[in-house]
Amino acid sequence: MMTDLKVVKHMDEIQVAIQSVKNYHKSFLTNFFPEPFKHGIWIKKNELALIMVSETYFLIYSDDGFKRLFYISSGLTELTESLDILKNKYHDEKYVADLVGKGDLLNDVCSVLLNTGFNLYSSLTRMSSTNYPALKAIDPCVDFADISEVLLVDSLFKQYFDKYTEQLPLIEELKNWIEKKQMLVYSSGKEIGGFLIFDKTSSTAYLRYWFVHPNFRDLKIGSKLINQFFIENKDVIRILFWVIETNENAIKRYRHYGFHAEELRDIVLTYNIPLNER
Amino acid sequence: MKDKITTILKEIRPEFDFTENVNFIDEGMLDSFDVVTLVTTLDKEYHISIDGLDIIPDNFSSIDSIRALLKKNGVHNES
Repeated sequence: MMTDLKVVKHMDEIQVAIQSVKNYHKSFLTNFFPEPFKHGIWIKKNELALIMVSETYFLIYSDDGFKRLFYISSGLTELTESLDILKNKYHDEKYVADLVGKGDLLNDVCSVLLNTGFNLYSSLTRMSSTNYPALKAIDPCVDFADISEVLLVDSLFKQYFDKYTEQLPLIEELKNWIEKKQMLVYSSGKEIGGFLIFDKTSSTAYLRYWFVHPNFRDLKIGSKLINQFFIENKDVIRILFWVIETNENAIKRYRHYGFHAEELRDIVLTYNIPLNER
Repeated sequence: MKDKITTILKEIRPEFDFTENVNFIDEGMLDSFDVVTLVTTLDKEYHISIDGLDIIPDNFSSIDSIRALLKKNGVHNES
């Protein structure tokens, strides 16, 4: 059975979908982990749609020229069947699916998507630390971003980040980070030499993006930003972030700062995205 | 039941002390991925199926709220 694609109007509809799926086998698999602020914007903009295919609900977000695909399924076999049906109906669409998890289950879900015609695009690992390095002096060029810098930061994301792997933030998210003083920038005149964005609760800091502009490399701007980040988060218990697994230099650098890789991985798979677009 | 819940939480996020009287969600001790993992684990451990509509942060914000959710699903003993 397949329903029509329907625009999601409220988060409750996703919970109802989970319940519908759980009614089959009392369990469910998903790669959709609600983030109220971000997903609230998707819903407000009518950019998140839901479709039921057999024993799976797919959530489809219209991103920049492609669709982000999420599933809520009753099992691996059911996901395979549903993906085949979806693929045949919407065969021209470009899809990106992030699979987050660990161990055999993650590998099994990954195999399902690969067998359905998805390709491995990249993989990330989550690193974390509960011990932080000694803090250095504050650099006067590093400060919290100002709202006037939001468009410049947005343009840097569009120019230098990989939209398939790195889940580029919406303008609304950038503004929110600036308002909450969770975006640090290294400014040099009217230019931004680098930035660092994080989420923070009282126990956890989540490093979201850490960027140094190519024109400002070898000036230790990355170190200055991360130092300020540690200063801002010296009271938290845990710091965590995602890093691309093939980025050995970055991983080496993170290890230097005391981070270690967790078991949690994010496998990014694409469908219908040609090699020259990667 | 309280000890078992604490053990399950500790397996998901070993670095935190879940015996503290704080809001696990607001404090960032559990994120949305952890909540889904917790639902799956509770379903298996207690042979229940937590309702999709109950998968909201408030129901996983403390030991007491998790215990109330389990009771709603028929888990009453002190296992």
